[in-house]
Amino acid sequence: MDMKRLAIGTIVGGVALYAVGYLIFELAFGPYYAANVGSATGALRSQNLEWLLALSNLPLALLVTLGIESRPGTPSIASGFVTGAVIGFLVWLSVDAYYYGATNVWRFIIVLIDPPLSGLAIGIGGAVIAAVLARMPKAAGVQMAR
Amino acid sequence: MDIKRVAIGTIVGGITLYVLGYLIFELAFGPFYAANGGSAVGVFRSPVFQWAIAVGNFSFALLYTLALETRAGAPSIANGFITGATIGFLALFGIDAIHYGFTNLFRYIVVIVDPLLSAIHSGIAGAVIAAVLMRMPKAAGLQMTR
Repeated sequence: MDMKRLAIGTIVGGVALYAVGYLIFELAFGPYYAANVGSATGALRSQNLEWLLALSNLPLALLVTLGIESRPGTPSIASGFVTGAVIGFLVWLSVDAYYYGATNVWRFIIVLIDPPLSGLAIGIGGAVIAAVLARMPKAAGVQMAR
Repeated sequence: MDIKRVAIGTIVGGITLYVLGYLIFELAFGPFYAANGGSAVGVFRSPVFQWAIAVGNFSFALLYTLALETRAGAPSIANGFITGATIGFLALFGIDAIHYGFTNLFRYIVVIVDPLLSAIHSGIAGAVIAAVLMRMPKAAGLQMTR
C-alpha cells in the first residue's frame, strides 16, 4: 500500500466530502432533516461545530481511499463512484437503522432518505479520489505473485 | 462475485455483530453510554426496536463481506479481523464526529471510546466471516485476466 497515495486520496476526499456534504445535507436537505427530528428535545445543536464536521470527513475519505486502493487495477472515476456509493450507502444504512432503533432522534423517513443521499455524496467523493489517484503513478516495487 | 458466499457471509456476520453488540454495547458498556449522554432530553428509546438494530447489523455485515470478497487472494481470519476492524474504526470515528458536530446526544469522550469498541466489535465479526468463507469453495467460472 502506497502511503503517499493514501494520504493524497484522504485529503482530496476529505475536502470533496465536506463540500458535497455541505451542498447536499445543509443547503439542499437541511430544512428536511430539521423537519424530521423525532421526539427527543434539544437533539440538534443550534450552532454546528464546523471544524469537527470538516475533520470528520477524513476517516471516511481514508476508508473510501482504502476501498479504491485495495481493488486490483487502475482506479477509474466510475469504479471510484461505485466504491464510495456502496460504502456510503451501507455505512449510513447501518448507522441510521441503529439510531432509529435505539433513539428518538429521527423519524423513520430519515432511515429511507439518508442512506441514498449519503451514497450519492460519498460516491462523488470516491469519484474525485479515483480521478486524482488515476493521475498518480504507483510506486515501483516487488509485487507478490497471486 | 459469488452471491451465495456474499449471502452466507452477510448472514453469519449479521448474527455475530448482533450478539457481540449486545455483549459489548449493552451489557459491558451500556452504563458508560448512559452516563455520557449530552444535553438532549428523551434520546433513548425504551424498549429499543430490535428489528432496526438487526437491519443495521446485516448492512455492516454485507459491507465487511464485500470488502473481503473484492480483495485478491483467499480470506484468512487475520485479514478478516483487520478488514473489519479498519472499516468499523474509520466508519464510526467519522460518524461519531459528525453526530457530535451536529447534535447534543453524547459527550466528547464517546467520540474517542466508541470507535475503539466498534473496531473490536467489527474486527471479530470480520474474522468470523472470513473463517466461514475460507471453508466455502469459490464457484468455478471464467476469471478475467488482470
